Formats: sequence, C-alpha cells, structure tokens
Amino acid sequence: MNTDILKILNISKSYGNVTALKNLSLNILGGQVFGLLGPNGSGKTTTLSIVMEIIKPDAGSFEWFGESNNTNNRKKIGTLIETPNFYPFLSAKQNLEITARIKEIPSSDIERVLKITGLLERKNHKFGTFSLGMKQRLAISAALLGNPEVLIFDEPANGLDPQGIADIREIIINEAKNGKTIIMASHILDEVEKVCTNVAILKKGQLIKTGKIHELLNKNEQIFLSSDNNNELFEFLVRSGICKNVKTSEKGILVDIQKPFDSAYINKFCFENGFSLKSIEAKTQSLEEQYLELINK
Amino acid sequence: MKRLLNIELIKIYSNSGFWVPAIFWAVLYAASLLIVTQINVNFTGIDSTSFFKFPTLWNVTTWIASWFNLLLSIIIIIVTGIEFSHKTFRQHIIDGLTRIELLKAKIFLILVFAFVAFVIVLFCTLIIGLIYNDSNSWLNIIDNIELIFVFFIQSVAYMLFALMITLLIKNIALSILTFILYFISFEPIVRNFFPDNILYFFPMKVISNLTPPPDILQFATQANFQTTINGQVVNDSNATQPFEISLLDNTVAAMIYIAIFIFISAYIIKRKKL
Repeated sequence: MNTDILKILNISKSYGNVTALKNLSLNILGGQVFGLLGPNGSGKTTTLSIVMEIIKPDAGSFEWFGESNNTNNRKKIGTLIETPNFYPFLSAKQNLEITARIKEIPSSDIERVLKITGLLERKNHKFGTFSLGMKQRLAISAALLGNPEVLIFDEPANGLDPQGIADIREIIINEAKNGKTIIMASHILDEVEKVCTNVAILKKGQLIKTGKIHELLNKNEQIFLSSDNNNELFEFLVRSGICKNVKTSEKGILVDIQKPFDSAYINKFCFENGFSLKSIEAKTQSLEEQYLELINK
Repeated sequence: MKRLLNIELIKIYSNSGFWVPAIFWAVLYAASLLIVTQINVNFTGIDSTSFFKFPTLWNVTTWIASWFNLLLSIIIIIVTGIEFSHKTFRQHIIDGLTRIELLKAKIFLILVFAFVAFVIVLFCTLIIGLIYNDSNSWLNIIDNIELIFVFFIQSVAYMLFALMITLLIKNIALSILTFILYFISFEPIVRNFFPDNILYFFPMKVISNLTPPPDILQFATQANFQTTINGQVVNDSNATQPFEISLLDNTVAAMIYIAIFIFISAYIIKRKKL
C-alpha cells in the first residue's frame, strides 16, 4: 500500500501577521497511521483544515489520491476536526442521516458505526443532551460512516475518559488493520506512540521532523557502555575523543555517537585499547522525550 | 436537488426555531383573514363584502399575506444562522458538500417555503371565495390571479434578502435586527433623498410593491390622482404625472433583485470563513 494518499506541497498560511504554516510539505502513503504532532499553534489543525478545504492556503497545493480536484475525493475521507459539529435539536441518528446523505451512502450504515462507538442505545437521544465524550464518539461515528479509505482525527481523545481513550485507540488500531490510512493530530504522545506508524512534528508552522516512528524512537545516537572499571573507561573515552558528551549514569557510561564511529567500532576500539566492555546498549527515547527535545531546541 | 432538499428537511424536522415561527405565520395569516372578513364597513358607496369577491379577493389575500413575509424571512435567518452557530456548514464542507451546494440547499428550502405559503394563500383565497362569491363573481376568478404568483416571487425575494444578510453577518439576532432596521428605517429614510423615478427601484420598495393594497374604489391608485398645484386641480395634460411602474415592470425589477441577492450570497459563501 505505497500509493500516495495525501501529498502536500509547500503550503503556507498566515492569519494577519501570524504565520500559521510555512512551506509545509508532507507525503502520506496508503496504510500509514500518520501522527501530526506539535504544540498549540504549531499549525496541525490549520494543515488539516486546508486539506479538507475549510480554509484556503496562501500558497502551495495538495492532492488527495493523486488528483488535484478534491471535491469527490472528500467523500472517501472520514474526518473529525477540532470539536464535533452537529445539530443539538436532532438525535444522533438524524445527525448521522445528514452526514450519510452528504456522503451519498446508505442510511443502513448508521447502526454499524453507532455500534462501533458504543452509541447504538442512545441513537434516538438528542445530540444536545450528550456528554462531551459522547459527542466525541458521535463525531467518530460520523467519520466512520461509509467505511472511508482515509480517516482524519484531530485530537480524537478530547473529552474522553480513560476507558473512552482506550476504546478509541482500539478503533484506530482496528481500522488501520483493515488497511485504512489514518491521519491524526494529538497532544497525547503516549497514544500516538501506541498507534502511529509515522509522525511529523511541527513547530511554529514548520516541519521539524518526519519519519517512521520506530526510527525516531531508536535514534541509536546515544549508547550506554560499561566495563569492569567504569572510571577508567570514562577517562579513556574522554581522552580518545571518539565520542561526544561522555557522561556517567546509573546504567554505566552514556555517550553520544558521532559519525563515522558506530557502536561496533567503539566496541572494537575499546577492546584494542584494553577495555573489555561488559555491555553496550542503545539508548531509546520515548516519543515524549524526542518531542520535547525537538520542540525546545 | 432532491438530495440537498432532503438534507434541509431533516434539519428542520425537529427544529423548533422553524416550527414556532412557521405555525405562527399560518395562524396569524388565517386569524387576520378571519378578522378582516368580520369587519363590516358601512360607508356610502362602499360594500365591504366586495373586498372578498373576485378579482379583488386576490388583491386582499396576497396583500395581507405580504404582512407576514417578515416571519418567513426570520425563519430563513434562524435556519441559516444555526449553521454558523453550530459550525455545521463547516462540517458539511468537510463531509463533501461544496460551498455552492450549501447555498443551493438554502435556495431550494426558500422555494419550498414560498411554495407552501403560496398554497396556503391559494387555499384561503378559495375558501373565502366559496363563502363570499356568487356565480357571477366566480367568473372573474382569473382576473388578478397573477397576484398570487407575484406573491410567490415576493416571498422568495424577501427570504433571499434575509439569507444574504445572514451569510454576511452569521449571527441570528444581529441578522434579524439588521433585516428589520433595513426594511423599516434605513431604506425608507434613504429613499426620501431620491426622486420617484429612482426611489421606486430600491429593493424593499420594489419587493413590497409587488402586492399592492386593495383599491376597490380605485382612488388610491396613483394614476387616478390628478396633480394639484396651489390647491387647484389641474387637468392640463402637460402637468407632471406621479411616477408609476406597472406590475410587470415591478416583477421584472424584483426578479433582477433576486438574481443580485443570489449572486452576492454566492460571493459571500465562497469567501467567508465557515
């Protein structure tokens, strides 16, 4: 599933003097669960609003499914952006009836999606009587209507309790297993780490990092080393200049790898200089650590 | 068209913001007709029952119906303003409608409302006709029948004007206020600064003149006034005649305004942040 689903080319958008997006380019492929991360005001919702044609970019373009005419393609996309937008005086079923007619899909699909999100028993209750979490579930139901090829979720866990968050995670994982492409913007990095295959990190409207999530988490840029005599090893590593930022830690000595010296080379180099390493272990970072490091740079 | 209209009908089905003013419109109109038919005027030369005989009856029922077009316009302001307050226009775009389809849906709804109002006015006219007309006056039923079609155009024009204001302002209360202020004070004041041949072509003037008040003695028709200078009646053919436009010309002008309202609404909806 390496087909282009969404290609964003050099999109820029400003609100008065405030730059919301600056030359953003992204390529999202079929089957990816793509996480869009960034602090408030980084441009996540603006990006999603532009690709859903709610707002127009000042410059740049985007293509859904390799086509520049996106009106019909939007019906292949289930979307929840920011807050759920429904009529409070209509029932859950009536609200979904409207979505179904817009997307030109049979109303029979409504019960299926309400069942997935656990709202089937409340289908005849008015939207205005729903709690925040139920409203969010209804918005997810609307996004799932018609079994779209792509799902876009902007903060899908908003207003949900822990059980609700777990349920939504399960829905996303199941939909991804069924081959759907999912684009989600979220602040809950733990959730993103659990469900996303790829991420892009935005800061002040600019893309600062993108890639596969396991590549981002396993940077292999830092390793822990230990030997029988860590003090001597520490002094040797500092003197040799083969690694940067040599520090002691609970797990041994933490060093930053600098190219072209990889961990295998360091192991060999230490051995040749009389240090037999007891352990050599790559330091993995959580997405949160990575994120904070990039954002605070 | 059917799909867009179905969507609009689902929206108004449980919307008290629609049903309350709609029922109010129907009840007020029926009550007004009932009251008018009970008024017994006894002036020399005037028989009040002649108001309810064809062809004058068309004039009476459409003129009274035109009083309540404000309510129809308020309904349009409410059902459109709701789309902005609940951000549902925005959601419809996300789900796959185009901005022009959003506008088309509301125009179809306006046509439905105007048609229902047309049917109710027609029904009431025929009921009153059955009560007050004899076999002779029934022969005149075709005369002035164009007034009910003109009433349809008038309703459409008022509602489209209300739609345009709501798309521009986005807020229900402010839109209603703007509509009423424009209708009852702004345009009438501005019109005073213009000569007759211009003031008759202001939008609200054109639209309201589509259903003129009944004129059973024909003394209110401007064409029948004679110009008076210094209090004297002048029959000189060169004397200035008051400006008058025919119903046909007035209808054409209203249709032009309808086109302008749609064009401006399309312009606004294409550019407005939803």
